Amino acid sequence: MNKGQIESVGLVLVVVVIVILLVFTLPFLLKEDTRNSDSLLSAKADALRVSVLSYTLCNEVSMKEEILNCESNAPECLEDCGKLEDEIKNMIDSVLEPNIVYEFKVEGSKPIIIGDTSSCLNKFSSASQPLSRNLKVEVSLCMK
Amino acid sequence: MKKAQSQIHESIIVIFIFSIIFAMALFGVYRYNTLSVQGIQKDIEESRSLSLLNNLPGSPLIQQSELGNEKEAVDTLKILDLELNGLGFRTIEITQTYPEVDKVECNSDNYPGCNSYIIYNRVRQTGNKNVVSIPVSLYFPLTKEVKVGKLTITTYE
Repeated sequence: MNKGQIESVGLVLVVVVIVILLVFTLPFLLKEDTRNSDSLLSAKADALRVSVLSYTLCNEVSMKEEILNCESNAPECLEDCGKLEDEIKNMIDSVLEPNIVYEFKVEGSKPIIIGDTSSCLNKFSSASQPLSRNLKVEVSLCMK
Repeated sequence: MKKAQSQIHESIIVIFIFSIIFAMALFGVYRYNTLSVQGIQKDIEESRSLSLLNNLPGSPLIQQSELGNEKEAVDTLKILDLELNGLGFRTIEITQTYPEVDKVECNSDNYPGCNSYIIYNRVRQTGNKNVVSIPVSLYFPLTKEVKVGKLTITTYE
């Protein structure tokens, strides 16, 4: 191999090394940082659960107490327990941005599920809050 | 032209081209560094807003407390005349979202028939703005009711 050929091979090697380096570093440089939005959604889920449950429906009766009342079919503020879901839905719709998908879930003998996050790829759930021995509430959120 | 002269010309051209490439590279590095610093500054401000969003509702300045017991709600009487300071270019606003009321900024004359409490406001007109919010419970001591609201922090870049 003469001198010219050796130099050409060297040049090609340098270009190949640069391309390989770019291929490995570009994904890291272009990767969007999602940590902030993740922690925000997680905090939102917890705050939403607390806000909905502590809302005063009537005469110092909170949403949490009304959910418990509805478990034994004895609502104090609402005409019937079917309206509980509408009330919670309106409350959540008023406070969350339209690009957030939510699911408010009350697990018990009469479960309530408002919203649907089954289509979410990256879901953030609040801590599960027990209201009684067999009744607990959880909120899940994700971005559309 | 002699061979030596042509070699000198060649060297001058090479040095000239190399200088241009070097200057362009220096400019590129400078731009990259400037953008990096701006990006880091933006990240810090965003993190600060998130930190405020998480910690402000639990601050004794605005949190409801009863006989020393802290509750998970914002006391609307406490925030009625509250003015925070030293939080950079941002606006911190607490609004009542449910049940809906007149969209009026609250003061001692129209309370509680209003929906917005601005507790910090330092606006920068130029640049982008980043808005983050979190649901909060609003406690009304006069009626002992808890309503649903939203704490919104707008950060100006």
